[in-house]
Amino acid sequence: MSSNMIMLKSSDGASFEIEEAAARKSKIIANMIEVECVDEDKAIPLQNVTGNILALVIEYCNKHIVDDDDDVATEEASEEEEEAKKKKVDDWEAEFMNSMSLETMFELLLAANYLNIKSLIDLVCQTIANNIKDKTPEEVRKIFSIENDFTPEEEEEIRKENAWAFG
Amino acid sequence: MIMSDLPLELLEEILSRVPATSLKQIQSTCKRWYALFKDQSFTEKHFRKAPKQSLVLLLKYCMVCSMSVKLNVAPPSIDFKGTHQEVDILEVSHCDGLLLCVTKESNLVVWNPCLGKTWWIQHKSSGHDMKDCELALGYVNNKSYRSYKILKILKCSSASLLATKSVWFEIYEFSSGSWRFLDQAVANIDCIIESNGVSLKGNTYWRALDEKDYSKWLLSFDFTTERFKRMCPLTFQSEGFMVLSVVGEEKLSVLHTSYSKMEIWVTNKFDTEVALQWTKYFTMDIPIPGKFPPAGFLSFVMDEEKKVALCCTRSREDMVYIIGDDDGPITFPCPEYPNEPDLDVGFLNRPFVFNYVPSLVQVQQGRGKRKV
Repeated sequence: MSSNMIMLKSSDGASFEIEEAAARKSKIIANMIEVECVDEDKAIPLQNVTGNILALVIEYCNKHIVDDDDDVATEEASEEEEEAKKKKVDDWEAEFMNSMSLETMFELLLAANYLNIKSLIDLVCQTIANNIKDKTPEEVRKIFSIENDFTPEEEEEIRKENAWAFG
Repeated sequence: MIMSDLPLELLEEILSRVPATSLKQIQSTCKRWYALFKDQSFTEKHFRKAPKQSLVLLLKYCMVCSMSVKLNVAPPSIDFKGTHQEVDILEVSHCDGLLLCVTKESNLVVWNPCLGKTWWIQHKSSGHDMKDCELALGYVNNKSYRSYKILKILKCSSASLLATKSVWFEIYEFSSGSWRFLDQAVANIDCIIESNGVSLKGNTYWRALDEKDYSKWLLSFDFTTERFKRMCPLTFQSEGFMVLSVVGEEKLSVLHTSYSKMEIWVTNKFDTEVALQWTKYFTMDIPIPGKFPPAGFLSFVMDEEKKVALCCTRSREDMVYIIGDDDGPITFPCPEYPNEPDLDVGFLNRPFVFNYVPSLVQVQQGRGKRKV
């Protein structure tokens, strides 16, 4: 495995060193590397990502690059081993997401979207979706600071649309 | 950073992962969210991504009710819950969260119970009574969204009708809002449809009988090519009664009840590249041969993970049986509803139990639409 290191620089000027293989989790960075616009001595500036969020992104990428290596090393792993490994990743991801506030989750989602890291977008979206499940509109508005722009009459109208729904 | 600042694309990514029934509850959170429910590309994305919730519905007389089955209590129990429907329903079939219903007045309606929405279909073209027709709802997967169609077949095709039967196959397209006849060559299926159709991944499947040698077949209708196809022979046992059901929205199963034995067979996952194979999933000796169930099971659903099937039949009253691996069958009478309409339902396929996957899917109706 290549142990090339590259530098990333956050919008607030913090620099991070990351293995190239981990950085390639981001399609944007992978593209930059492909077209050789990465100067080895210079850090890649990421203007839309702050240092504390970039640290989380790097933590995620590092974790998942290790997992990908395992896949190569144990190609003939049994089904149980595969399952155990998947569970380990799931547990890590649950712990990782559990440690952050909703505010941070949104920022992480924007960063993952900007850097184009599909699996991280999926993980954050699923975690936020789990927070929405089984809630009322009032609860959802409160959790996500959403303003109710319906009049009470309009809300009543929407409720009436349910005429043929389950009792 | 608050949620309202999120780009629409990411908001859709989040909301498309919330299960349909939960998301329906919060559609009135704000105007931006509510607008998504009207957007077909979002509702279909939601259908692909959201965790699937599988519910069991029962058509009892003219009423659809939902069944909640509790297996982890002793003894297991079933709760029946009626729906706020406005009309009496004679026939129902399920396709990805939409119910195609024939009403007592012989009207045709597509109903999304999760959204509480209905789309009424005009059907004056042929002059048939809908009660004499076999109907199937399906769709074509276009690039951007699905286009829905209804197939109508005149049931009980007798030999004399078969000679001219192409007349009796019609297709309704929601996009144009009109009916058209199906090509005669296409409609030449040489067999008689014997069971209710079940819908899987947009196409419909029936048990059919060959007109000449009386062999039993699994017959399919592909809504994309508008062609019938014999999928495979149904040769489980020589005698007995068979009903079809969908398993987990990816497989089909057959419940075969003979004089002394009940068997459930399940296919592999439906995939265009893999040939269809049947595996015996479950066998049970009938405790009192010929007496149980009284007249064969009329409908069933099964849960592959929990290794349990719910089977329906009618003797003196409508009954649901829970049939599992361990114990003998457990029997539940279906609830009686007040004001059950005065109807001769003796010839109908009741009680009819079927799987239902709540979704936000809507059909886009073209010209000739009629909303009631």
